[in-house]
Amino acid sequence: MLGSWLRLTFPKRAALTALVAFVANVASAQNVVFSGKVSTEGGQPLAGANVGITEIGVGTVAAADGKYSFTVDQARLRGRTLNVTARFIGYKPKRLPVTISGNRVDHDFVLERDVLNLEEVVVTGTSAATEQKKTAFTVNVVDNTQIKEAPAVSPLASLEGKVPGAQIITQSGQPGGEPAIRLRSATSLTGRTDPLIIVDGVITNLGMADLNSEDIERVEVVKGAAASSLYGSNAANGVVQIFTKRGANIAEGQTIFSTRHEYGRNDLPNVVPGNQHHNYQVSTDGGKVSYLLNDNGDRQDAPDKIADRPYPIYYNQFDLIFKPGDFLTDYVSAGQRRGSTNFNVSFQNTHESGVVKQLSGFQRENFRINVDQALTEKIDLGVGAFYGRSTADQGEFVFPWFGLRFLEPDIKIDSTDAKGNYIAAINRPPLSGNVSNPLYVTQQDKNSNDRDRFTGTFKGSYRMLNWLTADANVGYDVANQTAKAFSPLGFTSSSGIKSSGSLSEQTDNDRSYNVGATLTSVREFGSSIRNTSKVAWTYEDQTNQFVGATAPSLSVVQVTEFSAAAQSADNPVVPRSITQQIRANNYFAVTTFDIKDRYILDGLIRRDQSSLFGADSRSATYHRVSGAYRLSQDMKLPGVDELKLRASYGTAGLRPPFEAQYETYALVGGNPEKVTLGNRELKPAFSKETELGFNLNFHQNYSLEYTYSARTTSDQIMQVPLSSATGYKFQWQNAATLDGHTHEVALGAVLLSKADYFWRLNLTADRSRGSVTDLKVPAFFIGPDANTAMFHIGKGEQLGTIYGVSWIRTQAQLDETLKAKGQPGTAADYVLNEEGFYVSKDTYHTVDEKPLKASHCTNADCSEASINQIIGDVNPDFNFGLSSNAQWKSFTFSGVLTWVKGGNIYNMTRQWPFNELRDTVIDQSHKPAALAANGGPCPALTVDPHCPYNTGKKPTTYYSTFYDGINPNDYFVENGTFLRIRELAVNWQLPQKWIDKLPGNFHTARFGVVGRNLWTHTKYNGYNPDVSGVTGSGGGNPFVYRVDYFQYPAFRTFTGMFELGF
Amino acid sequence: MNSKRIGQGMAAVALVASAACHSLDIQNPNQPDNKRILSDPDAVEAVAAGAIRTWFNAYETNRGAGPLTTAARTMSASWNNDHMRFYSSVDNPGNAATTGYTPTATWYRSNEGYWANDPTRPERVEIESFWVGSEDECCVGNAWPGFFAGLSSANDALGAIRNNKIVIRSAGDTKRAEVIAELGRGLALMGIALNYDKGYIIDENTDLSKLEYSDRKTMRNAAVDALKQVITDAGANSFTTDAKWTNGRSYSSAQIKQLAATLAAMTMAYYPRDATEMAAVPWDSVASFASQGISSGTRFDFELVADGCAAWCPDHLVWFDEIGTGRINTRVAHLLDPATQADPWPLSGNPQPHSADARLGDGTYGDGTLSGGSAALAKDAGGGTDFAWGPAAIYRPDRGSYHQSNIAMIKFDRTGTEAGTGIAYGFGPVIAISSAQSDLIWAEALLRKSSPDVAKATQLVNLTRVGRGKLPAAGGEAVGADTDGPCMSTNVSYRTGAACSLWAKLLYEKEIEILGLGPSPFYEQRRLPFITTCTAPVALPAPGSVTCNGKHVAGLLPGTPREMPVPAKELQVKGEALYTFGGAGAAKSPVP
Repeated sequence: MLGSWLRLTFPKRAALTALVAFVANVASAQNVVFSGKVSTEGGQPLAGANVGITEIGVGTVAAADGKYSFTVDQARLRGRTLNVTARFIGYKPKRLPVTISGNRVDHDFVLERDVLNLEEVVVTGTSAATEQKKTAFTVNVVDNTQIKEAPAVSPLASLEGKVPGAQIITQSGQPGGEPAIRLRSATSLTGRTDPLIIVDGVITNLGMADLNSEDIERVEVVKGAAASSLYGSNAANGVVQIFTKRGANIAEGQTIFSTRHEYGRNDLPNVVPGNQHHNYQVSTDGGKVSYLLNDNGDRQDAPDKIADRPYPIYYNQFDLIFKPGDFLTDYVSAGQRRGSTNFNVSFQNTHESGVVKQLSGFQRENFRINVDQALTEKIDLGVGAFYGRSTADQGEFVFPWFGLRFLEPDIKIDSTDAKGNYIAAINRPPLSGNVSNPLYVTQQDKNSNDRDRFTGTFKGSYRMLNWLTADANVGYDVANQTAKAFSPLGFTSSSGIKSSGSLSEQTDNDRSYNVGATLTSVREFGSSIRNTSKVAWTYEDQTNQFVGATAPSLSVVQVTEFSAAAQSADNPVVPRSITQQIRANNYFAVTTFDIKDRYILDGLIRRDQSSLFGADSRSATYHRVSGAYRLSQDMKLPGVDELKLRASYGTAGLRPPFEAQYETYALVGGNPEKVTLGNRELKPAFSKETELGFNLNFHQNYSLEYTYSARTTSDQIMQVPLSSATGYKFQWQNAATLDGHTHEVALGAVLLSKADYFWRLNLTADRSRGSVTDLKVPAFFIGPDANTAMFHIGKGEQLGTIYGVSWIRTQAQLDETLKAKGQPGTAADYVLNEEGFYVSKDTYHTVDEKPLKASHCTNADCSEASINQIIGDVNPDFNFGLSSNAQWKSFTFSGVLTWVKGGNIYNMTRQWPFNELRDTVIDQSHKPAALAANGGPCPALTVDPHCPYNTGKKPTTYYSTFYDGINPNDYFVENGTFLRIRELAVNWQLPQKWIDKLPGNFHTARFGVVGRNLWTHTKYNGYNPDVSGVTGSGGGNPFVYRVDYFQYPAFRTFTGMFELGF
Repeated sequence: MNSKRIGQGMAAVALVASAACHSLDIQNPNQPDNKRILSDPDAVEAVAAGAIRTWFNAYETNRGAGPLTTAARTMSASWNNDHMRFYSSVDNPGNAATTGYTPTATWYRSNEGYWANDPTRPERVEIESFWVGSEDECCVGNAWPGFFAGLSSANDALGAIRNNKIVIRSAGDTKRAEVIAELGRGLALMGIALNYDKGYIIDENTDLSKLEYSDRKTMRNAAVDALKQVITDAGANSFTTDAKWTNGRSYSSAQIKQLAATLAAMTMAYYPRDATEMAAVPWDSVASFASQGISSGTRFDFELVADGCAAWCPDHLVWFDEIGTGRINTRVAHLLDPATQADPWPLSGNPQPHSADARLGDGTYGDGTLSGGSAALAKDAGGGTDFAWGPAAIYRPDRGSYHQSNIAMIKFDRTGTEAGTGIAYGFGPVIAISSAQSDLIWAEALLRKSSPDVAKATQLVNLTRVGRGKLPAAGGEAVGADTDGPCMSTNVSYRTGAACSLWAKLLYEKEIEILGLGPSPFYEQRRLPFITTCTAPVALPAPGSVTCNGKHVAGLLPGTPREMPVPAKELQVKGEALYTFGGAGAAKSPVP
């Protein structure tokens, strides 16, 4: 009785509502039967293809042999001409206009490959599922075919180089870490700019690190308010919507099992060596070289202070600290469509060791199930569940990455004591105690981070009328995270100081749910106007609970629980907890007119109410107006297949943090202490974006998309200091406006498309700039860390501008410095040295030679001057991505290459060790030895103060000048340009005849090799140019405040892969 | 039919909506607000007590005290943590790269000697945090916001008690809280008056929208008045403070009265910004207050217990009571043992001391392994009580030997081992105001007042000189003057090499005993005349510099700011122009 409607594909329908919304095979005496076969040009059946009649919302799914069949009550056809359409992902749809005259329509569809995915349907930001060619704003799609060859451990990393305007940066290479993403220009001065992420309808605020890429069917990305207005007060950063596999593309009656396994290695592609020569006096006794110590036991500088003396012994410390780590991932999935049901179930196990000896890295197990069920003719249900568990040990800031940079090469770091513990006290005066033994630290300190994640989804659909559908969805998301840090009693610093240990444990139990209901109307007015309208309501409810305790001192060794805590008034165990309840109630209406298949007009309005807004500003309203004109429908241009002009203007918001609106006191030691003056009028940040662009498809195999985005984000939510007289430290206020501009280009090209050959290239490029156009508070500096507050926030300032000291390198700088009286004398008193710095002529080639700071005139007559000036800009000239998929017979090749051109990185990991003379540039051994006039060794400095330096050797004090108290200076502003092969996969599909011989019922088998972060070309001096500091208040915006600050570097992964399907 | 289906759909939507929709008015359960705090008697009491803790953290924060005591050349640190190196740097100290200190060099603070009260400088120089939130700050931020936070708490409590008639269990407990709040107000006003050129005088009835600055003299008077009120009220009531208010120490109302008297004496004595302002100090009043202070009657130290900066944070001591980090300046080390501790900064470091002062002794300390050998000599019978010697140069000499001596203060490390449970890690008892400090202010006042009492002053000097230093008792020598400069442990003057006057011995005790008590050493040094060993000092070549063929014994180097300006953040919030002191500019505000 139910017939073919039961074979409907709920998820496909979600994506293809505009086309094949429902199956409605009503048994009737006047039924019309539609049947046939859907196949490729090569005759291969397209199992799972959708065939249906859009106008009345009926259809079915092709079976494994490509055949389809569905019936329609003739009364519903009303004798008019209708379109039977066949569609399959990756193929161009075909339409068959039919006028029903009998009770049977037989037609076979042969679909052409849609090599540019131009017919792809998107749902994010639109009123309903919409073909890409009819959207009035950009919606980028990354589908499974672009992910599956080299799935990243974190799903967000899979977007790298594939979406124009999407910047992704590795804040930490720590296994299990999650990259940061920014879409287009910055929307926030000091906060993070993560887009809103929706997974299968679940608005997730709990991070993406738990998800695995293999489960992803498709990712849709909208990048700003012009498109994301639909998502309101939490969407100014754009929206990333992820759809996981549901078995929707499987042919009727088909069951598919697949497994994918990767095994390989992580390794660090490069290390950052230190100075290999020292500057100390030595003595030789029986051939044994040792440092000459003074009466206090300290090493003494050689008089010339030149670091060109070999260390008594060298150890290969890096080989002891780093090791290639294991990488493995096992993925198993099963999907089926049968009758009214389709489902997909998967399991993934991932282990990524990382590259640090003694740290075991990241381990994750994920399980996911999605099931769709058609309950009745008019009601469909879909449910999904995800559970993930992961654990990671940590090796982040300071130890060991900080201390490692201060190691002298003659320190034997793998020495152990009688108990097998590595030696901690390795500091040798007169160097400071910044050094640490990474082996000791990672052996003794134990830091772990365990997470459990559960996500549940439910959605239902009720087709009330042919033109009216009601949808409801519920998403539930829970993340439990326990972070534990243990430092044992007696933990010893490099200076030999024994601590009393510490223990800290904190548990975050966060859960959220969102509920939504939607009414969608699809109506046609006459033959040329189609309207899709939707009214919707969503409710979000999130509860974050944090409980933690810290024991600052331990009294028992080798006990890692709080029973070991020293229990005294002086050393109290400090408990703490936080509960945050966040709710939002939102309504919106959106309507889209498709006029004559060429004019698209769209408008929406949304009203958000959030508990995060100030009590007197509970509501905010957003809207969007957009339109597109498919010019090529009216004007035929040579070689042009499609030319669409589009414009969109929309608004969206950014919500304040939980505590922002409240007046707060901190309870410190039991005493209330004022912190925040509440703000009942606190509003969300308000982003307005205008997006203009065009889409050009030409010569069938090429597509070009250009988009310009101009956005203004006002009412920036900032902590604003108050007069100390109030007793409060600050108040959250809407206090700044930020402008941003982005140019994006995406070029798609199919260079080969034959049965056995296929080569597709996608190129993306973008350039963004942001500036502060209004600031209601005084200008200030900020950075990812208190030590790196070098980024100036002031009205008119471009975001990402680095301020600091310049060293005099040019004649112009010297002249300006002299004019400003920043240095005494005249230009004749200075000389340009071998390294490109002006130095005092009196000190040139002496032990006192030093670089000089440049002064910068700040008024016309230079009566006012400053040594502080712009020294860098972190914004790249442009970002470029190249992704390629190619097939040659049974081989497939895919790769992603990214190129970041320009933009500076401030290399703090290099600057800090300058103080302790650890940088390679301080090593003078490669410069020729200076000789006295008589050809002999240089005499004492008192006799000839120039001789040791005549060949360009510089004393350590010359270089340590650049350290400058780790204050920012242009010596450490480095070019951040890099070219990187992010992904490269080569796979080979076994011939079918071989597969047939395999035991079991396999239908596919592939072998391959996969590389991630495989190769990097850069002149950057650190471990990795794809880096940004993570700590501190400004660290929330790693794209704007970009400082290399002792993070775990991104590493390379190379694996072998095999995949089986049966 | 259609309308029925639509109705069904709408009903379903409404049902789901009603089930899910909750109020958007959510209370913040994590932190209380003003309304909840000030209507709860117990909370009001805690607010009053919190004013003491807030003052303590502001007074002991190294962000405030570190730059002050290093600029005063009493402490030293080569690190720029809390911007100490920036503010303690000395320009042109000879050729540090080759020969180290050159006595004949011009030695001055110039551009880098002023308080960089300018948020447009990205270097780490700010004296108060600007906009970086809570980063790199201790406790309540820095001194200015900390003192005002304490003042605000005190006023809130007083307003609740006096205006809103909150009763804290009983009239006695209510009065106790009121007196403690008064003490908190006095402490806060004292801190502002001593540190800054101006501030706000705020009480529980002040309209904060109409605030006007008061000059430092008016601030001082307000502080003294507040402390007088404490003396009166503590004297009129009998109570014992709750031990948790000072994290483990209880004080009687009588002791609170004594403490307020010492604080009043401190406020007046430490107020002068330079030697020229000393004459205006009412020394008779100082002597009177000091005579009623914590060293009178039953002596006691005003002591609190630190908890690793969870709430009680003496991070100035964390920095300077650990041998591997901050050390005392070679100027003070030289006073302790002139034979071994050269001043200033020999590149080679200074050898093991053998001081006549038992507070240093032979510099041995701990078990000999502390700081990886920085204090390599295990403690023997000659070890000192307050100081230890570490052989290691804990920073490259060319980085700034002139910042570091080989002597560290270990006076407050009651573990004797720099254990993790001790002050080196911010744990354990901390003396904020010591009875010895009260004695020494008292002794000074006795020598400066209209009718000096030399005998009593001598007795007070000897309490620590003999009692703790085991040095020959003072008595019978010339009284001298503060221009004598400090004595050395060898009983000769650093400045002249002649026998020490009583004043020189008093100054020596101040150099030794006040170390570690917040910014007090800075307050002491700024009001001393600039004392050198120059036999014929020449005129200053330019503002902020001095040419002197000798060593600089006491007082602040020319160019060193004598007080702090209102921090830039406060000025900017109010839209006022930035200004500063020190360097080539004025070192202080005009005398009010």
